[in-house]
Parts: sequence; structure tokens; C-alpha cells
Amino acid sequence: MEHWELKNQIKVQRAIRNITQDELAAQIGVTRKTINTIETGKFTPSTILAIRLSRFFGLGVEQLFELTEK
Amino acid sequence: MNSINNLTFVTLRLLFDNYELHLKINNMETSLIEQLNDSRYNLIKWLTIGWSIWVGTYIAKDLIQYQLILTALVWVGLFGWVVFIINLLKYLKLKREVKSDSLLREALNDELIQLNRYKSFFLGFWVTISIIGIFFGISLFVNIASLMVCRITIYVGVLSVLIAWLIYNND
Repeated sequence: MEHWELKNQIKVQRAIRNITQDELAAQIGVTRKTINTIETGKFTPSTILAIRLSRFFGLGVEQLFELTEK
Repeated sequence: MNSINNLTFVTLRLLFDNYELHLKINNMETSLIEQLNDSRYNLIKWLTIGWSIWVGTYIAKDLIQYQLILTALVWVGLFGWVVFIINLLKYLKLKREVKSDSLLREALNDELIQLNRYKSFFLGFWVTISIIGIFFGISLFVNIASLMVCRITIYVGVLSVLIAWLIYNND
């Protein structure tokens, strides 16, 4: 897993919709820190959370998350 | 006819529940999760302080012989116990309040919190094992009181879990 990096577009999508991490967290039903750590790539979300985030933004999972080789 | 009515009722009920859930999520105060999360963090911080003072002084008084210091330790320990008990009661109250709201409960126990909890207990386990190992090593050369070993192991084990939790969940 150390050779792989999960990048995401959450920050961009938030900016497009003009919502804060706090608001997104409340909508998804997690803490703000969880959103923050996912955004910065420190925490890898579960499949369920990734799908819930994608659904919220109306995107496919692979549009929101991108697995790249380091 | 009866089964069609039942099906309609079930469908309407499901739609209503879903709408209710949707309303609840949208109406959930944005900062409520954060407020409760911060409260929990502060309560655990004070629980840690209370535990370290209360049990720390309890262990220390077995090692000290001066009466004046012993008396001071008893009072400081009592203060630690009061801090611990008050915050423990507050923490249990918070847990009970959150328990009644399933959405709030889930939000406050999301997967990052669960992971951090697991990591804290994992670290606490290895700290406890290490302390037992150290005491075992020492006991090969020196006689150590078993009660003291028990107290120190529990003290450091619990403290390490609490401190690790605070570090992992710090913003």
C-alpha cells in the first residue's frame, strides 16, 4: 500500500459548492476532522464513506477519488 | 385487497421515514457534532488529568515516608479523585444524551474515531506488556512488591490509552 496514493477532489468540489468542511461533515454524518484528514490524504475512508461522499457531490467514486502510483 | 393496502401502508411508511431522516440530517445543527466532539475531547482530557493525579499520588504515597509530604499527597490525590469523578459523570451523561440520537451517535463514532480508539488501545496494550516485561526483568535481581507492580501497571496502562487517544484526536 505504500506505493499507492489516494488523491481526491473533495476540496475542489467543496469550493465549487461553496460549503465548509463543517457543513460537509454534518451532511455526511461524520466529524469535521474526518473530512479534513480525508481531504489531506492522511486518512483513507472506507468504501461506504467514499460512496456516500461521491453521492453527495453527485459524482462517481473514481471521479472523486483517484488511486495513483507514488 | 388487504395485502395491497398493507403494501401501500408499508411504502408510505418507508417514504415518510426516509423523508424524516432527510429532514433530520439537513436540520442537524452544523456545529452540534463539533460542539459535542469538543466537549468529549475536553472531558477525556480532564479525566486523564484526574486519573494521573489521583492514582499517581496514591502510588507515590507508598514510596514516601515524610509525614508532611504524605499529608499533602493525600489532599492532592483527593483533588484528583474529585476531578476524575466529576468528569466521569459528565462523560456518562454526554454518552447517554448522544445514545438517544442514532445519527449523532454515528457521527461522533465515525470511522476515524473508531480507528483512533483502536490505535490507542493497541498502544496501551504494548505499553502494559512492556511494563510487565520491565518489572519481570527487574524481579530477577531485586524483590518487588506485587501490589506495587499491579498498581503501576494499571496506572501507566490506562494513562497511555488516554494520552494516545488525546494525541490521535487532537486537531
